[in-house]
Amino acid sequence: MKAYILLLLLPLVYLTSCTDNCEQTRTYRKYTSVQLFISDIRQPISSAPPQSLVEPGKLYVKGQYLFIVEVKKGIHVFDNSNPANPRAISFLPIPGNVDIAVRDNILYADSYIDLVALDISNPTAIKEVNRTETGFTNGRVGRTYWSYDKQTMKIYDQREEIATETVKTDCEGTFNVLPYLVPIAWFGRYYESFAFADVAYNSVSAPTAPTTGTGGSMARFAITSNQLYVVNNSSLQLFDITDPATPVKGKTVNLNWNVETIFPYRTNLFIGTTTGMYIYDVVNPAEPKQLSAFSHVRSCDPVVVHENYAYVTLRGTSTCGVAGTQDVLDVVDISNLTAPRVAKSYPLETPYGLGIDYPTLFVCQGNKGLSVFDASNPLDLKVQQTFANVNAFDVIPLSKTLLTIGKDGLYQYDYSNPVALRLLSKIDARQPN
Amino acid sequence: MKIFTHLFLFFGLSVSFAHAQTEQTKPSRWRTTVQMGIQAGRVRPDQPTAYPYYGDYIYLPNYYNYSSIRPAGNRIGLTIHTFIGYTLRPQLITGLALGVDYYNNSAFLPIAAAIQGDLFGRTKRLTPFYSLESGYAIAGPNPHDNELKGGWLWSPGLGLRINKGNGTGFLISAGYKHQEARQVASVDGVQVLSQIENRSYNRLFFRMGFSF
Repeated sequence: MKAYILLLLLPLVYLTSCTDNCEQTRTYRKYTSVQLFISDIRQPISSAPPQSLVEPGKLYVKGQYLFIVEVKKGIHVFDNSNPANPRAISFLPIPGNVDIAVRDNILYADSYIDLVALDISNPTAIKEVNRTETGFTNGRVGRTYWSYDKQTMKIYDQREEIATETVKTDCEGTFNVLPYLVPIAWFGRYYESFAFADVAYNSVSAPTAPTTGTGGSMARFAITSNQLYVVNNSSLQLFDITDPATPVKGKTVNLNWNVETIFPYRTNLFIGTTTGMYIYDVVNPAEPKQLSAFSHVRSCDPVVVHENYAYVTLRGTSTCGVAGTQDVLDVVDISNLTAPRVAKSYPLETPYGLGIDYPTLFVCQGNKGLSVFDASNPLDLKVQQTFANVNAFDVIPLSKTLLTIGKDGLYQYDYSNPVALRLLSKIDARQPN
Repeated sequence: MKIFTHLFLFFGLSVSFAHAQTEQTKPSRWRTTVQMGIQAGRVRPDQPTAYPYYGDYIYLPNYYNYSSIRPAGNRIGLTIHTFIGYTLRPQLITGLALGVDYYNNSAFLPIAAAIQGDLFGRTKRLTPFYSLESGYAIAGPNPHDNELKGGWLWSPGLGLRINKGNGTGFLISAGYKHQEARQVASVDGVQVLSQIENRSYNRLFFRMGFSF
């Protein structure tokens, strides 16, 4: 009998290993705060040897030269006289740089709180000629946020990286959705405290504005006549560039909505925001006048314009916008600039930047590639070609060469035949992750 | 309340035993056991060092960014276990084990290949037996819905059968159970790109029931 009792007790040996072993592996975006002294940022900028693309941002074309922003790091300069073989010339290290624009031989670039003017008459030896404060003391770049503190003379910035961490957990999971409480909760724990709050809370993060260019739809810099227009989140800042080398700060126009992009067309400025589109009259370039504000559901939306139609892409998913918003390409009738109206909506997956060289419309779809439309009748867009295997955020159609930029680099296509685009070259981006 | 439960169990048992006794006592090659009990184990505490830590809360990069720190604790769950087997010899009965197991807040439905057998070849009033099973459990009702997938399980155990003498008996058993599972959490794809939790539950079980 004793033997049985011993046998029954035998499983107790396992008691020491009766603890659950659970490991959670999570890959997430990690933000590390970074502090920079303004004096370090204001070191004179000059050309450095070419570097490979890591996180390509906006794109700008001036003559034979191609400028690709390396987000918050600087600008890659390419000689693109032969689109089939772009040649890297130099790299301009500009901390905090996101946007660029060129007037004559002067390149304007933002560097956190400053607007830097650079002389590019010799692209191999670019040098700084001027620097003024934009008046913007904070900003958002992608998902990160920076601000400037006058007292400490420091820029507080964030570094974003993708981190993977494995932690031991209690085997009860963490919830991204409402927990299941009945009837089995008795056997475990309740998860009432935090999960019920903010059911609809969507992680609010900055609108991404990755790329731009001449006529690029995702630019935040625009030049018309003698004015440089710079938009930040909530305002439009004017700079008089009658003398290109010395930009003079002009008027500031407050905009209420989250501004993302600015697109100049003829005597108008089309400002894309997360909640709609502003139309400004710049007949008098120094005194922009609001003509109308066209609102729609909250989403990301660059704008391009041709004749009487504006093309707006609304991307409801991911970083900007409300979950559940549809992804569409809207054609807005702007024959009456004071009363724009949606003429037609086309459903389109994850549209980003777009470009038009009438009658061809190019729409980037992020990871989903690039679509080419025949826009000879804007009310009846026809898909001509789609590229699923490219990653495209913005495009510039420029004299039969299409430049598209995305996470994996810059592609150049020959679109003399819009039905069959031909890949000319690709500049690879070295993916950080 | 408790007394009613006891009475119910008592009458229930008497009826089923009485029923079994009236049957013709021809030993069947098939054996079915139905058992119910508890399984007990421990969970580890949350690790506050893994993520930024604020007071009693840790900051998680997900929708509900703050989560309270959960301490270590004991967990007891219900287990229902059935075995249907064919007697090759009294020492070796092969068959299939099915049931329901609760681990913390998640239920699993195990489907396992199982063997049972009498120990020491003794078929007296008290017969000790062993059981061994290995298989797969599918996830049952749980807070993660389809995100939670079941996994491999194995479970050794020992028990004691009190024979009625007509092929039926009353059982008590105890043992160990290892159950694996995997939770692939839905993520927003922006702040959190992927979140996978590999779980392995380790439990001691104590069950009682019938064999017929």
